[in-house]
Amino acid sequence: MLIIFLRALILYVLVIFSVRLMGKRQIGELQPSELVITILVSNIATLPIEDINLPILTGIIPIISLVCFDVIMSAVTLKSKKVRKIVSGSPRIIVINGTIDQRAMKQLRYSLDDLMESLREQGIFDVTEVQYAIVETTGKVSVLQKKDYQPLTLDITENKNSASQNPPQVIIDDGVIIKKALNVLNLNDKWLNGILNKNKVKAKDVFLLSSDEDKNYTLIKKEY
Amino acid sequence: MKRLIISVLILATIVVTSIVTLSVFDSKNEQLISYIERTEELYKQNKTDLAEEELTRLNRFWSDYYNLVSYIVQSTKLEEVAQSVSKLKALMGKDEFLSECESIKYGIRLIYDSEFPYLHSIL
Repeated sequence: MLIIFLRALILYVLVIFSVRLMGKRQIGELQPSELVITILVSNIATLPIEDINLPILTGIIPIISLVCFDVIMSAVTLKSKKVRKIVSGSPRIIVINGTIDQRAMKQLRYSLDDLMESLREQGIFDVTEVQYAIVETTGKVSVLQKKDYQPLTLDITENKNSASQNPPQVIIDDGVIIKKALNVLNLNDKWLNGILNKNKVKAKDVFLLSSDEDKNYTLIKKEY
Repeated sequence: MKRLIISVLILATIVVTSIVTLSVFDSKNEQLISYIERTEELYKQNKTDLAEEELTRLNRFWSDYYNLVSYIVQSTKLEEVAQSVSKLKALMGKDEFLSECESIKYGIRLIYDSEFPYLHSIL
């Protein structure tokens, strides 16, 4: 019995260390890869606790290895958008301007009930009030209401002439120009180069550049 | 970045330790087999006293070997071999002695093979 107690204690400390090594992201919303690691770690940890015939190393080695693989994979996905897309997937728009994209819903195996539930959770009971609904990689639905239905804020009153209904698009993501976003916003390379020249920065040195249809942009330079 | 370096270092440590452990395991296996073979040899030459001395050395070596190997091998697999080793002294002078020696040699080779990363063991 004492052996089981001591093994449980060792593995408890190890799992705590592992979760800390995985980082703070783990505690909040889980990405698919993090969910897999969490399930695997919890399963592996129980085996050497229950079965004292198994050396404790058969629990420790896979737990540490999995967590290290996850940390390395996180670093790789941070550098490569392609790998990030493969590992975590990408967000999908399921409602645009009050219209449900049924094909996207079908591809995501997302039912109307799921969508309506997610909207209701955010206080929206009519799908026509929605400007954008996006299924994030974590499975959570992010919703942007049409301007007419948004709560009144000082910003809205001061910019009441602003025609833009759509949320800003990311144009430069960690030094990489997203051409598709430029096309969506009806902007071109000339406009982008103008912004970069005005801020005396090259595209590769930009951490984030986002803009809306009214060409209101936000630029954050890389610090590291 | 710090986490990445720690992770890479941990993984490298695991790989190196695994390889070192496997080679130590292999050399200890060879030592154990040579003890058994010497005992068998002396027993076949009817040098019972010398065979008994060798057997005592074998038992002493076995307890060290058991403690070391139990860190990586499932204890039920080791228990079977341990039982055979403990029987040897009692079997001296009987027909089963040599067959028990063979079964110990086979058992420890089997344990080593189960730890070695052959393709069939991985898959």
